[in-house]
Amino acid sequence: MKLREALQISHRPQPDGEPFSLDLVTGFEPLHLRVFLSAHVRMRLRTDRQVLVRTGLFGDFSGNLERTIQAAGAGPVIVTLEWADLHPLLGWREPAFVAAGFDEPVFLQEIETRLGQWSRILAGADQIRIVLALPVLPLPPWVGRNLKGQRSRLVLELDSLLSQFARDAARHGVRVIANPVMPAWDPAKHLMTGFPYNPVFTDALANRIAEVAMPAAPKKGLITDLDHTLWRGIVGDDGSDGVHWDLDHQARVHGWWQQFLAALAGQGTLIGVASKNDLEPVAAALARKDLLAPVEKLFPIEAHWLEKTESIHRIAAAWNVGLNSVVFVDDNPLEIDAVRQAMPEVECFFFPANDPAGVAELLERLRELYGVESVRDEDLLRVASLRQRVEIEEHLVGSGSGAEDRFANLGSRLKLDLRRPAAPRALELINKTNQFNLNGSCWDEADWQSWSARPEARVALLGYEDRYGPLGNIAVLAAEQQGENLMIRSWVMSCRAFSRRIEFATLQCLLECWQCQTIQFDWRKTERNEPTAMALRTLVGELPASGILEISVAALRKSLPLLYLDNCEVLEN
Amino acid sequence: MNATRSTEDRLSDCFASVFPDVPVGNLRMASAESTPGWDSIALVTLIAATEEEFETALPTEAYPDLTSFQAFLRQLEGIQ
Repeated sequence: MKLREALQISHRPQPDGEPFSLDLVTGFEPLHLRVFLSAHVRMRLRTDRQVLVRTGLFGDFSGNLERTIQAAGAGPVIVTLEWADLHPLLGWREPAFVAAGFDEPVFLQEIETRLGQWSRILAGADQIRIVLALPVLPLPPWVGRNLKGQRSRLVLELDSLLSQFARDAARHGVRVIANPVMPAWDPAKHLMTGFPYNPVFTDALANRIAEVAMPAAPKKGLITDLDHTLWRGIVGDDGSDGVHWDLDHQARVHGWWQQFLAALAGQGTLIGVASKNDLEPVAAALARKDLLAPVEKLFPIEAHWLEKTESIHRIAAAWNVGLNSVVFVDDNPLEIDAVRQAMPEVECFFFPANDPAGVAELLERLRELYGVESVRDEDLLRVASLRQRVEIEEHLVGSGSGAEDRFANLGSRLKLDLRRPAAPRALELINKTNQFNLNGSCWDEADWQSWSARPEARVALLGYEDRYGPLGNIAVLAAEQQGENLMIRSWVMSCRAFSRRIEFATLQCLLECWQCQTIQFDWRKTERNEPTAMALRTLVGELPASGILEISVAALRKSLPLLYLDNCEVLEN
Repeated sequence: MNATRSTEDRLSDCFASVFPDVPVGNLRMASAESTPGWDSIALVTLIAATEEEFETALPTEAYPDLTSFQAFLRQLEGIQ
């Protein structure tokens, strides 16, 4: 992005509402970084708004950090550290006297003390999304005594102190960015204006910060081909022992791919297989003990001679996710093209089996698409519960007198977490759930935090388990209590929890916790929320396309189907 | 595409991005004295936007004289 484009984006009038605010902590004049940041963050907002970037005082990094953290709002805080903020001797712009008797240990102790102070400030701000950019400017040559071709001990000590600071910050939830690798410094402008970076680097830095401060939802599933992708060789021709993924057979890149899939599966990403093959040799190869990919996590396996597009449809249906959450990887460009044309929502990647550098690049790119900040219990349960879903639905959705008995014997146990602030999983579920979703509305993290801190806001995060096992946290209900009325703004439930009447049990339990006489649902029909519509029809009858649906608590209680809860645990502050 | 547009038009675009509230017709008469918001930050931003648009570096010794649209234009014409 050019500076002029960034200015245009950041100045563009917003339709209505408050601007989005964030804080930028620097010791240098923030100048163009402020503009680029405003533009890049605006482009990532779910609803278009101007971005107000609040900055501090020139040359006072410590004070700016302290004041900003104390007064931080719901928006992210961006901290951009440079060497000069640690000590004037480490900067280029302000004069610093280098005494003949420069005492290195005392100097390093001073730096360590300063970093320790900042570390404590950051540690006390774990409710704020903080993004930290570490120094990129070169250290001046008067720091350390370099011998040719050798790094000085002082510089190594400084690097070590800084790494320790970054590690401690990351342990407290601070997002430390990987700085863009490119020339950053513009010495002439730095001396003239106090702003150190050239425009190209500033654009890249602001983009990187915005990516981390306002992360996109990760992809949910990856569909891999087998022959010449998961392994080298054609399993139908070469047999299950004739396909390889090791160094000895010049097939290590396929081992990389398998290890990568194992890592994704370990964080809860869904991994499916789409292969034009007979099932028998595929099953034999996948049963090999030396397979590095987690075969128990490969679900479903579509091995047949139908088109790949058909396989992808089937896999997405089994996962119950939209095609835009799916990535497809294949070594055959024709298959890639066919999928791209028929399913433009699916992101497709060519597996360059004969190009290790290309495979490494592919893995790096995919790593970004599947980046998650933490792995929760429900992420690890996902594949198992998807496998069980069909079985459970067949078991429960039968007709006749036995159906109620089956519900009664489910052994349902709910856990309602009403604590403030709501766990991060609540917002994550609201923003990624499509089918059981009251209105499809998404929230920016800052808006969510600001709204949920209001006294009238109520948030319930629902955990569930039954005799089939735990599903983890699978539903969220966010409402506003206005006197005797409860207005439900967001209500979502994971598709893994369908067919168990959990949605109705949620309402029944919440009515005990949130006293009210009427309930309103902020309903809007979307392309995919028919499951929500079905539940609401049970409660209020026919639905409009959108609008506020109101029902008295007494009427709602009468509308609820029979519910069988063994236990409902409520967690409150 | 830029090659077909005059220096004045391209400079006007730069000024418009820094001073979005100034009517387009008035940009060519803009000066530090007459333009609300023309401060040191705006000047540095104007310089950076101009350098980016024309892929050139304005000499730092000229900065104090860059107090109007016409001064920027003269400087650019001197370089080209």
